[in-house]
Amino acid sequence: METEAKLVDNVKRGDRTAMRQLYEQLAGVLMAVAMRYVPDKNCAQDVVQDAFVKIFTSIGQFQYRGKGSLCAWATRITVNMALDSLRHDNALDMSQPIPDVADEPEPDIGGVSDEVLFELIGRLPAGYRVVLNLYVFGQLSHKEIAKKLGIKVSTSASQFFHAKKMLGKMINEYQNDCK
Amino acid sequence: MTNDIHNNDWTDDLRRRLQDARADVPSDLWAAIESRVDEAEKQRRTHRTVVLRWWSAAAGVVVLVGIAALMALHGGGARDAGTSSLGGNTLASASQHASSAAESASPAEANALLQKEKEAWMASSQRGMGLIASANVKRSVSVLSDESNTDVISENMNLTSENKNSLQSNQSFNSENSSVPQNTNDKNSQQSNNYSNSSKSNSKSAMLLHEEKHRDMHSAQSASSGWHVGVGTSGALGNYDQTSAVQPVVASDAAPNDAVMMLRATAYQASNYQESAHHSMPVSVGVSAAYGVNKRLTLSTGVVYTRASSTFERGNTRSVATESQTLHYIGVPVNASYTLWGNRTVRTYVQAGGQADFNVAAKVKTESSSRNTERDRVQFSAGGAVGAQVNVLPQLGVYVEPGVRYYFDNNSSTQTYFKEHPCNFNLQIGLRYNIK
Repeated sequence: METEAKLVDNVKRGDRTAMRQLYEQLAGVLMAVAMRYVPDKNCAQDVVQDAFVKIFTSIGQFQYRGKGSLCAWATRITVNMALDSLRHDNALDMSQPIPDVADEPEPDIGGVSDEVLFELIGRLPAGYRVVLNLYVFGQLSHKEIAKKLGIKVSTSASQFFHAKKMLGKMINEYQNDCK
Repeated sequence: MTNDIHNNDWTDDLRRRLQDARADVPSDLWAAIESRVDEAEKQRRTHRTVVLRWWSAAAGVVVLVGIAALMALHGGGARDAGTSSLGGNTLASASQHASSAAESASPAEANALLQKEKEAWMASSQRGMGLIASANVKRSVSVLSDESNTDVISENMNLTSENKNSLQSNQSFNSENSSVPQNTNDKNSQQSNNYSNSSKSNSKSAMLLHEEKHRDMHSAQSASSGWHVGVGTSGALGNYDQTSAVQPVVASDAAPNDAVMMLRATAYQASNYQESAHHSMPVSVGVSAAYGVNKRLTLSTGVVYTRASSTFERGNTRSVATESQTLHYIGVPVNASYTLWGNRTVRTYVQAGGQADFNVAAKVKTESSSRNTERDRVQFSAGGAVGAQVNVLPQLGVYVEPGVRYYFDNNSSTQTYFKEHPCNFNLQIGLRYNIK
């Protein structure tokens, strides 16, 4: 979008008004992204703050490439900040044995609100949560996830498998509870 | 399952539902972000100042080294060039140049030698031999073209026909000769006047050639000493406007070469043409447009107007005509510049590039007339510069670029500053339009 490109240019020039505008545009989205990875609100806010600082200080290296490119770039930065935060808290421990869960029917998420889905994702163990987010929302392959997190590809795949199972179960349980 | 295909299952639905979701942000989040950005900016500026200082120092060192190198280059040549092209001096002041050099020969020695030479001359003049004069080559000899090499020597030889005529004037000189010390200098200056010649830059090779000849003649002479007082023959050839001292001539024993030289000298005597040139440093003004490839790299081109003026003094012993030449060039430079440090208003950079200058007008002016002359060929050059630009408007900047340029010889017949000093400084100022 032309106006978005112009906005980026202005931010690059250090225009404070443009920076504020960019913030208003992206803050909500980035907060949601952060909370998917780091459910704790305070921690998520820190993540978003770090993300914006990084965005504004490295805007010079960003090349606007059309609609969505800015949001995607900002989201990537936020995800990385979130992962840093989790690593810092030693939360990304995926070496623990995974309890076997019985097969579950696929959940129907249609009847569940966004907020609940968010919350349920947040309840997943960190490892599951991260892999699930990276795979489903980040659309990364297991190979890419493995590289990003420094784990084996098989670990990534198994983590996702179990994450999906667990989340599905939680959704089903929630819906059952609501009935 | 290690299945990398993102299945079209409920997780896809999950993604579609939640990927554009927004969450609430605390109201004070922006303030926190802004203050951190400010701090980061301050840190960057401090860092940049340090980096800038380092780069400026480095650039300054490079420029100084360049200056020193060019001075060394020119210093060696300039002495030759200076005396040859008279470095902007008239013939008269060139004589001062040489005279100061000749002064290094102690007057007493000069006097003594002169007396000896005078006596020898008196003796040999009877034989009607040509005379050889030699100069204190090391100092006062200036640029000679290859051909004029022998001419110079023959110039200083008292040409046979003139020789006889000058007997009278030289005899009268003898009485004048009593006050040697001052005259010695004048004579030397006369000598060098004879020498001062063309603006062609064969200085070093010509000088060597001359020295060789000098040595040859030297060996032919019976009386040899480490140095020779320069003596001229202006008395024989007529008076220069500047000085009117009559010159004695130095005798030499007859040597086989002399005859040949005398013959040449006779033919040469008719013209006795001399030429000197002084080229003023060209001045350039330009406008340019710059395109920012990225944050630091800028490509620019534009139009540069250069005015190169030179003064030529041509003539013979009787009269010297002054001619001033002005060449107007329009040039197209192409440069790439790397920003050392810059913000929206000020930018310092190093630049390199090439330029092609087209001589659009060439005027020659003498005392009596002014006319257009043959234009110079395209002049190519390459160079580097350090620059500073101040943007008076976001799109418009004023720049100053001191730099070093090398001008490729365009093999034209026009004598220019660029041929004389192919590698030199220039200073360009101008306006620059910032495209991006």
